Amino acid sequence: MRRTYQTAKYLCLLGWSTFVVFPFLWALSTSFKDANAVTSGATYIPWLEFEPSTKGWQSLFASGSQGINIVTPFINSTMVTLIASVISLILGTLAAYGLSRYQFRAGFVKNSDITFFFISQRIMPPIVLAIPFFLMLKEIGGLDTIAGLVLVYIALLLPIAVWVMIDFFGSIPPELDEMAMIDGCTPIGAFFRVILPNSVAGIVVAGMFCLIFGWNDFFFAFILTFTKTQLLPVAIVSLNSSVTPWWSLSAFALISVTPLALVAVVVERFMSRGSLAGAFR
Amino acid sequence: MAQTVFAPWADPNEKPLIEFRNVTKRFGDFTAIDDLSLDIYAREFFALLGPSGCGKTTMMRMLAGFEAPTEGSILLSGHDIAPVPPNKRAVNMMFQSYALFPHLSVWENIAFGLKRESKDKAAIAARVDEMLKLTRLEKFARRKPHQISGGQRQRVALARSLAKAPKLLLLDEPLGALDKKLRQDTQFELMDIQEKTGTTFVIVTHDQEEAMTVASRVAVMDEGKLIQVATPAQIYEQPGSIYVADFIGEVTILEGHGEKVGDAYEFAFAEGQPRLHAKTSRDLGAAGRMYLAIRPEKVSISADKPEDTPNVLKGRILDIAYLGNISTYHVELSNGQIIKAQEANTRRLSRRSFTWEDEVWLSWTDTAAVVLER
Repeated sequence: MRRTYQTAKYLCLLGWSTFVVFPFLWALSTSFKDANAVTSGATYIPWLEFEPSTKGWQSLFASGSQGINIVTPFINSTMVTLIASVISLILGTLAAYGLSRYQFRAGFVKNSDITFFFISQRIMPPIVLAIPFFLMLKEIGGLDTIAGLVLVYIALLLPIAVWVMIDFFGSIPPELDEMAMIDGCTPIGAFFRVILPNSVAGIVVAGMFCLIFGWNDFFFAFILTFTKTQLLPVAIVSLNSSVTPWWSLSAFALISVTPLALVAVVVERFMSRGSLAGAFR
Repeated sequence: MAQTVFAPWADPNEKPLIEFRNVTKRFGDFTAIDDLSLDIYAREFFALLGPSGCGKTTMMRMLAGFEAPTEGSILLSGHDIAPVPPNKRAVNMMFQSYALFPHLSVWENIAFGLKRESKDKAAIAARVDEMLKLTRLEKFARRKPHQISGGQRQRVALARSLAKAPKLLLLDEPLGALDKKLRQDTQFELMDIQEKTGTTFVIVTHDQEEAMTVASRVAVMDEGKLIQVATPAQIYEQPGSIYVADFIGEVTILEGHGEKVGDAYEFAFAEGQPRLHAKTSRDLGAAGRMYLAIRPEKVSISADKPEDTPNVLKGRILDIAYLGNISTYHVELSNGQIIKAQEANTRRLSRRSFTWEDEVWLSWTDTAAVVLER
């Protein structure tokens, strides 16, 4: 009975894992194929089923008509995502701290309304936002520029940062702030000297979300840029023409995933830091 | 040489360190503190005692600067503290939860406040080491709060709150998180440290035993008002009201008709029961409805009717609560009234003189019971 249960459990887990990992395996094997191998059916095992080739990988860094420029979109994506994430994180953390510790009131608008206002920006379907963003960027000359994209991405990432950080600050008892004030800190000093150092875990989580959403956004990058400023997701899709170079596209996709994977590995080490263990009782 | 008794509240020339002047604090419609006036003197160990929601924590938060009085004023050394923000007050606080800074070591936690007001590194280090020594934490200086035990955290919180040598230290249920044995040890430690440093301590607690143990004076509070402010002994022996008598320790309260005879009251509480006698210095009028409060340990219990005792009642043992060192007997009188009597268990259990359903005599002296108006 127990054996059957164990077997069934592992079969289920194995099945699901395969489903999740398969796209990566497909991209990995395809990135080492040439045109011949791609068109000759679904094959996965190199040397045995198909002759591996590094053409796809080489094309990403080659120049000329054969080459696909990956470097510029990569730098663009990195800049837009990093700048927008850092600004969103700074503004979001400050806003969330204010909302978690002080009561604001303007007419009938209270803290909960302000919090909802932040989140509500992500309720609207992106297509509804895209047109006004396009018009605004056109007016201020921000179309097809890094600065314009950063502006739009901050608007999209800030709600995530505020949302995650409000929740996190809510888990830090206000007594910690009060103790800092009793020990000579101003309210601002209490935030920077005591609350912020203990919020590393929350900031890391919020930062991860910002990076993931920013890095992977295709829709706004596609609408708001043309040729000058291309981001990675748009660059990948633009490979898809009459003859799609699947080998290059796969290698491209794998490279675009790498930074986030690396960030996740590094960041995971910080998650356990800054826990409140030992502060209370 | 006779030691002078510490009682600044009895000295009319003594200036109080803290004065609450007709302080009222409302949160919306709820009145947490109701027109309260109170003086606390330097070097006192003052306890605010009351059930949860009585306003004691609000008083402490007003002293710390986290709440402002709705009406009235609070003076510290004669100056109104209303305009002074928490970080500028000569007041420190120890939270019930300790609120240690988890990202800092024990040493850095204690140095935190000192660093905010001084740049002199040598002086800070000397002061921190002094505090570590005072609280016997030298060995744990480099550890983080999560690497030490609950009792040690409590001492870190105390060391940190004393480091800046505040005029006034507020302690909010400081021992609530400790187990009973450790709590008792720490109570004496607290008293010792208070005496050594000469700091004025105001402690908030709902544990009457703790308040009685540590405090020079106790304020019993209820619903935002002070019910009685007095020394622990006065609170216990001379409670001013049924509320105080009942809140502190065990007590039997009899309701009846009192009549003044000389310096005592004759007290009739039930048909068929003898009159009781209670001496008192209070004047509750010539006659009227009143109450008699008797502490169980002041009631003697015996098999034979005692002679020459002003108060003697006959009853039957209903219940025995055995607490090891003492036993509390619940004795039912013929009219159904239950009176508690306590006996120290000086003998082993097997040779105990009374058991359930035994007919016994209860007696107490004429100074044992307290006559109360309400």
